[in-house]
Amino acid sequence: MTKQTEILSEREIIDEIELPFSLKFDRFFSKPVYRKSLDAITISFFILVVIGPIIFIFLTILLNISTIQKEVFNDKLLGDLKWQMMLESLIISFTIAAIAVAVDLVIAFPTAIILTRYKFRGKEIIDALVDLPMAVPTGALGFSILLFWGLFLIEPGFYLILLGHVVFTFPYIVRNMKIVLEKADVLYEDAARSLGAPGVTVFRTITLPMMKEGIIAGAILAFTRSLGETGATLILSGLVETSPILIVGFRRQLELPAASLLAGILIAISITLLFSVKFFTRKIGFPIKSVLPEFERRLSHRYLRYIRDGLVATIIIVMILVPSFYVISQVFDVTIIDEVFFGPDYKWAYLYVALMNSIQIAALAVIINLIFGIPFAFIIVKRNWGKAITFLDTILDIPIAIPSAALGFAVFMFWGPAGIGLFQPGFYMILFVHVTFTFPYMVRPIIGVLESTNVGVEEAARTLGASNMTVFRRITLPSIKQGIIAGCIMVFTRSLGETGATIVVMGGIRTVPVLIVDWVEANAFPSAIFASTIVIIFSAFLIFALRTVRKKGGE
Amino acid sequence: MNVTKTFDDGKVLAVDNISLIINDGDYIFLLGPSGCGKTTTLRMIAGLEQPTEGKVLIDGKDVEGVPPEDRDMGFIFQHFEIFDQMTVWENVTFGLEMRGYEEDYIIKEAKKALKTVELLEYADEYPSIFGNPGLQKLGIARAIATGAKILIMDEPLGSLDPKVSKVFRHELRNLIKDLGLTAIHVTHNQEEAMAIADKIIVMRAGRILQMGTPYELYENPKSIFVANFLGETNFFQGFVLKLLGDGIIKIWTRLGGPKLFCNDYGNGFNLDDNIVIAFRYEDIYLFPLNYNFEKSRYDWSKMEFFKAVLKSKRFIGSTKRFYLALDNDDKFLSTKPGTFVENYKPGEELIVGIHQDDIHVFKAPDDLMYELSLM
Amino acid sequence: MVEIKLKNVSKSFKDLKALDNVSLTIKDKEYFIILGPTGAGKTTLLKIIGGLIKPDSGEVLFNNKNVTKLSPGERNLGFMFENYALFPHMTIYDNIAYSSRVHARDPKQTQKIVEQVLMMTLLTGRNEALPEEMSGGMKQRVALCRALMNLEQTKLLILDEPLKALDAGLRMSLRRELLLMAKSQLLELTVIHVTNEEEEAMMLADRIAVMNEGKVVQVGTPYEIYYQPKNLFVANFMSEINYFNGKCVKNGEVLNHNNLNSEKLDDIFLQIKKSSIPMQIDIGMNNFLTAFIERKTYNEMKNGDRVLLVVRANHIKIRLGHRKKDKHNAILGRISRRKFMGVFYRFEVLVKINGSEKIIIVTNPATSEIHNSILEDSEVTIYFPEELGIIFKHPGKDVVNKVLKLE
Repeated sequence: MTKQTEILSEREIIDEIELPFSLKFDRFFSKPVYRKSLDAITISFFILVVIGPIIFIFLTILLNISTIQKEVFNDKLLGDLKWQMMLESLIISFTIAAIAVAVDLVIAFPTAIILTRYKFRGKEIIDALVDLPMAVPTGALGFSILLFWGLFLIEPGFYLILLGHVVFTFPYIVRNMKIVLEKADVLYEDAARSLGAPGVTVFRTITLPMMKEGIIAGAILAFTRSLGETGATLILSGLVETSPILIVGFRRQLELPAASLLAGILIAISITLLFSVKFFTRKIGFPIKSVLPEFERRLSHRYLRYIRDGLVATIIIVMILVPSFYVISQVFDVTIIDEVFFGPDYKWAYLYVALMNSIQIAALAVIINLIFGIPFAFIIVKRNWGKAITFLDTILDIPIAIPSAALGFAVFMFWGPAGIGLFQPGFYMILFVHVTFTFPYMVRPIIGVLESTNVGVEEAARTLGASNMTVFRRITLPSIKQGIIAGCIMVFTRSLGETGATIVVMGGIRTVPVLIVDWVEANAFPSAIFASTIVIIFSAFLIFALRTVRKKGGE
Repeated sequence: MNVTKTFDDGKVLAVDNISLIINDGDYIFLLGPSGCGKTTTLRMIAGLEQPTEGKVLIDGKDVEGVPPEDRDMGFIFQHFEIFDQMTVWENVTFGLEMRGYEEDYIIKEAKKALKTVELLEYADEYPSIFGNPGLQKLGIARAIATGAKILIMDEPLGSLDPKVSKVFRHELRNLIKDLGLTAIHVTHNQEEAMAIADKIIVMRAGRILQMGTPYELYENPKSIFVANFLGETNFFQGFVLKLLGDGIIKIWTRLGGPKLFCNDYGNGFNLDDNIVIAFRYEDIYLFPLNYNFEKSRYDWSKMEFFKAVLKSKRFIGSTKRFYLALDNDDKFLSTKPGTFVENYKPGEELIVGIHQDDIHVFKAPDDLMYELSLM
Repeated sequence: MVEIKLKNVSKSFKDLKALDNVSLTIKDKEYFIILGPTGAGKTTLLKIIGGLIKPDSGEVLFNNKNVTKLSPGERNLGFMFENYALFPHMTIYDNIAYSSRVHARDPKQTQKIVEQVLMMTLLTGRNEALPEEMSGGMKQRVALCRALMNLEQTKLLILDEPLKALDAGLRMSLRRELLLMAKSQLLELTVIHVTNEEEEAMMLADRIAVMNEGKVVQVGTPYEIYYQPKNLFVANFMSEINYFNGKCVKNGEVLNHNNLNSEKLDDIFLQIKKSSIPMQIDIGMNNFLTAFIERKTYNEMKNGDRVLLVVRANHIKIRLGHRKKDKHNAILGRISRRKFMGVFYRFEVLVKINGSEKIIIVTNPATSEIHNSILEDSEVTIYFPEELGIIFKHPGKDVVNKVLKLE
């Protein structure tokens, strides 16, 4: 009894102790009311800014169905010519995307295996170089490819677009494969080897099925990126028109109903694709039963492996790395400085303004997404809302999956004069578009680290007397820092490199990628070379920063 | 307390209407196989889960809605949950800081706690230099530094090497006793529970089967599961032949046939009841065939004797095991201390003795396999 | 017929020496256990035998044939992994049938065998279940079956901590099953089993190899490892021990064998006695203890050499009251803590040696006599028989601390 009273009196003392301000602040804001209101604000932001435009574009189509009917299908002069153009562009876009993904998959398998399972000197650098095309603005990339294949007299057109798309979708596939390969425990492969399976059989029956999700995620991402790409395609296309280019064209000619329809179709197809693939992934099984042991044993032979590795290395270098960075080798041309700095039309001034615009937009996009992205990631991981979470989690990927030109157009319609009328095309609208399509890039990495953070540590802190907010400030935040930084860099690079969506909403403002496209179209090659080199170097710097952050997180 | 906890909208009953009282200064174990609800119970006490029904009382006060940070309990985790971005010192002072103590007091208490677990010299290091035992010591220091009088432990030895945990568990008990703490310890390892508990609560499938001191549970198990779970036990099926009054019954089993007498421990058996008898490996006496019982100074009157063949024997250090078989080929086991002197050969016939009081009798359950499965 | 030999095998990972010049011979149809703490190099050793890792130097021989360069597929042994490594995307059936399919054995035959195996392991009807749907015990059986299916001529089964992931209770019963399987006439297996639990090792092994820090410290039967440990590490790893620092007294009071206090002897103790002779040890303050020591070591020792006397906690006996005179190797003390542990009582006895206090751990069978009479704060006498003391040359204070703290 005495002991109990002792404990009680001690507890009273604790209540009397004046807590420092920060702890009191935390305790105050740990109240459920504040948590709930933050949740509500975050969700409204997500619905309004990220999902709103997409819903609105469908609404527009429905409301203006008669106009569309009149302008697209039964134009007085052109009949259904626009519809024919759309159909053709869709076919071209899908063909290119499909072929590019197929080619990428074939090269990516061995690449991913080499980059994860082998140890060799310079692996880090190769790894970074393979990642790089993801960060470089596609306009710059496309220009570089144009110059390189121009050496071999390949004219702009279908095949050049294809070559370009193979290059910049490649890293998406390799990266996703690498992530699952790194996660897949070598133990299973060891087990299969100990049961007598030769290398090829192990890969087919064990590694491949376990990589399934990663392969499919990478393929979807690459496919949709290819489908929506504008910047490089504008440079490489010549007379061929893919769907995003057509949208840009319609938008330039202010044929809004036609643009709406095409954007709507693209968005619908992309979303359907996303959901059906997500749904079917689980059901697809790889054949694990039928085997040709002798054949696979022979296929597993060392020499064949050497040949394969050599071949893959050559293809990567010749088809992907060299074309991507060919433009840098041209920068030493003397005429460049002449044209950029001393030309009659002040190219340097334009470039400087565009560069500032790009950086400002990217930085602001990072800040806005940071403010709403962290609470959103928390909602997805921590809240116990059942099906609602699954739903939010799925629709979070939509901005990644749909072509950015179409998304840009949707945002233009929603916020612009035709919709709410809050913004005119220009700086703020570009910013809005960028916030919209980069949101998932911020949230995904944070979700990743949040899921892998240890709930136990947070519970430990709570049992030691920390309130919810204190736990967040002192324990959770430091441990998800890496994910947040990774998210910021991803958002920054994606925003910096975006062309399609920007063109649709930019009004009179120029960003760097758009400027490059403009200059290439105006045949101002030396200036384009200079601008491209600058952005490539800048992106390379960012990618290395990202990798350093990742590595620290991994330790 | 008297609580029920359900998960997933009531579909899974994790803990079903449990009542238990924990006294000040006791070292209590919640013991049971994986998934028996022991961790859920623990987390409800700590406030990391809320009971669906029922109440948890601490010092007579209902603590419903009191968040874990205000319950003033020290929690020790299986995976330590050390803050690895903080130094050892910062880990230990965290709880004190949260309570808003003055700096002098914090330094004094943190030093005391670190000294208790012999980690003071590592105060400025980061926890990554420690192996698992070091991390758990730090976890203990962190929990006791706040001055909490109740220590809650979820498999605190589960991540340690078996050899290490066998040494460490005694240190843990001594520390808790020396500090005069009330401790609640969850484990699935019965040996650990027997070794250091004051009181054990055996749980299975969300219910409490039996609670008591290790001695009570071991000497007087109330169910087949407890008899099997704590210690090593032989089981035989049979039925009641005769009631002899004074709580003595005569039973028929495959062990020794129709002649076994034993105490019914107040079970109130009736004639022809199906029963299961249980006896510990170490309660079996072994004698050579030519043993002269008259010469011995012991009283054999309450012993039951029968013959069995020694199939094989194994030396496992602190004990020796004897694998024995009856005429009808039913097998059972006997253990003796490792230093037990014998020269029995496999194949030899032996006289086996069991004291009547060492035979535990249970009503035959519907599903003996389930009762005997350790899950 | 399988005989495995390792000759001077070494393996390093970066700076860490995982295996340091290990040589071992594992005999045909033997249940061989590799025992050691986490990080001793046990799993690395297994993986080298299984061919999953190539050694930096040294040779692996199966039946005197060098297999060091052979791939795991060419060795045809059964390897069961820690945490089982069941292929998560395959059903139980496919997991078990995997090796037959890879080797393109007759599918009908395979189906028959797998179904038989499933029946034997009480898993019939679960063919189509995925590993994640199974309980720990079931997974363990599936992993075992999968490994057994790969055996051809080399009937070698390698088990890496096969019981570690299971509940303590379940572990006990599965140990017996493992032993029954290993010794079954039908299978004629040679088993190499890695564990960090000494009880498991003693229970199952024909012979044990104790490993520490990448080296094999001692190889022997459970008896040898327990009663004649080569060094302090092995002695301490097998059970709770007490140790006394002392000096050897070779020309002390000559002991007569008839004088010793344990009259009746087991075969093993007789053996110990035959091969060794008793020696006196001075632990200070006129406390002389006597223990048997191997003749060879005895001859190497000089009078006054510092020695370490190790006595296992369960070899010390306890009796009420101060009756030192009746007993050899007796020390007086007071019980500071006592705890019932089921089969045993464990006492912490406070004794005074050389003026300083020391805790001696004693575990004794929990008889009713002990339960009723030997309580906390009782004055007691503790003593131990000569043949159960173990004498080492003193390895130095640092080593003693390191070993006992299990660092």
